[in-house]
Amino acid sequence: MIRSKLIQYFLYPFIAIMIALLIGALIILSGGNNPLEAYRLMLEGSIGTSQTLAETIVKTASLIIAGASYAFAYRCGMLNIGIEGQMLAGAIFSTWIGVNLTFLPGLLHLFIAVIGGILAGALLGCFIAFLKNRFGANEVITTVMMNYVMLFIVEYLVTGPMREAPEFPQSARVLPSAGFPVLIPGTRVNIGIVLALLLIVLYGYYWKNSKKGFEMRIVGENPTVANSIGINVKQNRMLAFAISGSLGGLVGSLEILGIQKRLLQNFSAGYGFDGIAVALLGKNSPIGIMLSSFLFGAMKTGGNMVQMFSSVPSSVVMIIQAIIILLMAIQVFSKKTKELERA
Amino acid sequence: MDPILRLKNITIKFGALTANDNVCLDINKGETHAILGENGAGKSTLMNILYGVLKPDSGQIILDGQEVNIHRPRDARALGVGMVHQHFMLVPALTVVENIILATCQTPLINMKKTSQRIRELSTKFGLEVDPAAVVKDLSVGQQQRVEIIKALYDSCKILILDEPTAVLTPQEAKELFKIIRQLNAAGTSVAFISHKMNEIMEIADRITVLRGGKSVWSARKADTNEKELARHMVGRDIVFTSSENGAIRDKKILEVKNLCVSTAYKKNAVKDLSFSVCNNEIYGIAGVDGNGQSEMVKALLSIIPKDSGQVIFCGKDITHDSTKEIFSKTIGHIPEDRLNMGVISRFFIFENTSFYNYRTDEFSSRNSIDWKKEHSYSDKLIQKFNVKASGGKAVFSTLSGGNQQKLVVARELDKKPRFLIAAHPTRGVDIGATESIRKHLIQQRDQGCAIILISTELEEIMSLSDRIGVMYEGKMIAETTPKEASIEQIGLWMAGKES
Ligand SMILES: Nc1ncnc2c1ncn2[C@@H]1O[C@H](COP(=O)(O)OP(=O)(O)OP(=O)(O)O)[C@@H](O)[C@H]1O
Ligand SMILES: [Mg+2]
Repeated sequence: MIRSKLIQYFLYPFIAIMIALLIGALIILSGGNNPLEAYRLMLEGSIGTSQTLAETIVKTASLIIAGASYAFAYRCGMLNIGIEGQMLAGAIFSTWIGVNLTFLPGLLHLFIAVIGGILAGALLGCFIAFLKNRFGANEVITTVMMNYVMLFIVEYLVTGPMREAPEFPQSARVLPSAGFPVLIPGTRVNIGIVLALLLIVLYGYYWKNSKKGFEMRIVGENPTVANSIGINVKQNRMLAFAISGSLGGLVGSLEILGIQKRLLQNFSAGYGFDGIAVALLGKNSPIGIMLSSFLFGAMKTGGNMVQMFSSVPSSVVMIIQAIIILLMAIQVFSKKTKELERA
Repeated sequence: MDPILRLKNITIKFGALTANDNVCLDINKGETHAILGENGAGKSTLMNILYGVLKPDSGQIILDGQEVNIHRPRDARALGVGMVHQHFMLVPALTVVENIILATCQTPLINMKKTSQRIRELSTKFGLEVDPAAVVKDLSVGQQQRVEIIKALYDSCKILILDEPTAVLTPQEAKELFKIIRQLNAAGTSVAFISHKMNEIMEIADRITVLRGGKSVWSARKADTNEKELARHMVGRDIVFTSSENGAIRDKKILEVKNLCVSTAYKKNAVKDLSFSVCNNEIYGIAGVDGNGQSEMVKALLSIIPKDSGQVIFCGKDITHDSTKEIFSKTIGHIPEDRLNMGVISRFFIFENTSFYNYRTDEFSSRNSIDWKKEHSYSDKLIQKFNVKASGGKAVFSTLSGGNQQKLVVARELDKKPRFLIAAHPTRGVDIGATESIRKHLIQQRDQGCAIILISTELEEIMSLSDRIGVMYEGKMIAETTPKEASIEQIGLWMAGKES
């Protein structure tokens, strides 16, 4: 029992990562480069120096929250492909509050800006759940569509109403009072990582012990059963998507208030989609999400380094990540079919 | 003549539990071989081994005189072994042809026309009436089972395994199935048949093997044995069914249903203007052919599906518009007709499944969090008290044998000490020993004041347990009687819609 769990949670992901690195090495080799050198650069560029490690931690924080966002909806039986959109919504609100509500004092300003971002994400999540509950609209389709809608809204805002100067498509800078306090001076590591770790602990507790979490798991496994034993399926879906969305919104706030400090057209580093990968690799468990977030964060920073100091393009990292996801996805699939036969 | 199939010394272990312990079984060509045993005796496990779903730790499978290795169901099918599982494995949203293609097609391209043709061919050959174009979720259980049988027979099959095929069938549908089995036998197909109903076994089997505690303990030809002897070999003692009777004063109407009307997406007026009431200390049996509105009525009573009109009164309070959650908070129990889709999550642990109705209570939780330790020991208590064969609360629900799953659901509902209980097919799939004890529990519950609605397709069960009987036909209660007043024949007529 315990052994099979260990295998499931650690061995398979480990094998998937190893195979992906191997295939990545072959690709680097075929491009006429030395894979060992590339991987050494990647390692050095992600955790080799305190500066690069700091960058990795910054990315890990966002990935943890994005991963928790995806996993949250997933455990209630829904696929939130719209974290990217919720993130943009959060970013818009946080930026606006950060730029315009100048009368708010210090930490309160930050607090309101973050809450604004969270609410924006939650609202978007509720909208998706509403469409599902009311019209039976598949959330995969609606969330993907909303991603585009949000992308265009951001484009409109930074080239129009929120534009600071006519020559650049970007908003004004948020006030320092609305910025995330830096945790380690001289780096970009801010209290976002503390927040992320706190949230993932809460996440673990919620699904393990809370009544609501148990209800949501039942809804996620079989809504018909949930309905028959008196659990309100629609309400739970609404709540789950609201929370999932608010986590997505929070990633946006963190990105704006902690890193970018202003709304740009393409400010997103794709955390919305990486969140899905992180949750998948981490099997939706709190520790798994944490570890895989660190891994993906390191690969992201390391990839930049590889691109800078060798002729290997950073897209190799994306290929490796994609292979990991593919391998994990196949595995989830094969496990399901086995269980079906067993039943 | 050599047997067509010989299972020799099959052993399989799940952790500490030996589910099959040196089991031996011979099946002859063209015979129906019944496999009998208590819940958890290892019948399904043995059949799953033969069908390649499970791999034995040791033992041999000898087919037509040759030892074979069966690694997966596909191998079994190629060797002419087909199986209809205890729980159906059809995709509800797909049509009959699509389901059969899904299970049998080996080529990269599918051929709808050819498959439909083959289905029709099998249909006419064995009297298995089904419409290949019908969507599975619109079919009755009996029809779905025919689809399963066609699926199993599709690649000409020498041995057909039927794992408790009659548990979900009405007696009429069971009769139909027996006809099919006889035709299969006549065509040379052997059938391995599992059932807990003695009368069925005595009717259809040629030979019988009894499993007990994972061992094959006894084998005989039907002609040389009788029901009593079978029961004794199976449980190791005689079974006595208690019948009802009690003298309590029934002065309170616990449940009153007035002019209930229910329609569903598939069926308009599934329940039509239905009225009845159940008193304290009373078992109200509802007889009727399956599909005459019984399940819609139950779901509507519990607000699982909406009511068109009508009123439901529980202990003097109107609960017509209460939510399912509110209804269950009033100590109402429900043994559902379809446990896997209405009562349990089979991928969850046992202790999670037994917590479904109490995790919100103060006893098992504090403010926001559930006390899983308490839930765990509670499930262990239920397992003990109701004699469920399980290694403990920490086992995954789906690893329980079918009958033990049912026993656990019954245990959970009875342990609520409900004031009102809906029991739909409470003994479905459980062995005779457990049937006896579930019936005893129901009667005990009644004697403590509980009002019970008993829904069953087995008239014998209704007759021996009920204090009053209502007969449902096309969504209406067309007759009300007591077991003393009416004969089985009379009720049968009512069930067929013949008012008199
Ligand atoms: N995958 C599994 N893991 C652990 N135990 C299992 C597993 N499958 C079956 N068992 C156990 O093996 C025993 C035999 O189960 P099996 O399903 O063969 O019983 P059965 O004779 O078919 O009973 P029933 O009449 O209730 O269907 C049971 O105690 C069951 O709990
Ligand atoms: Mg079984």
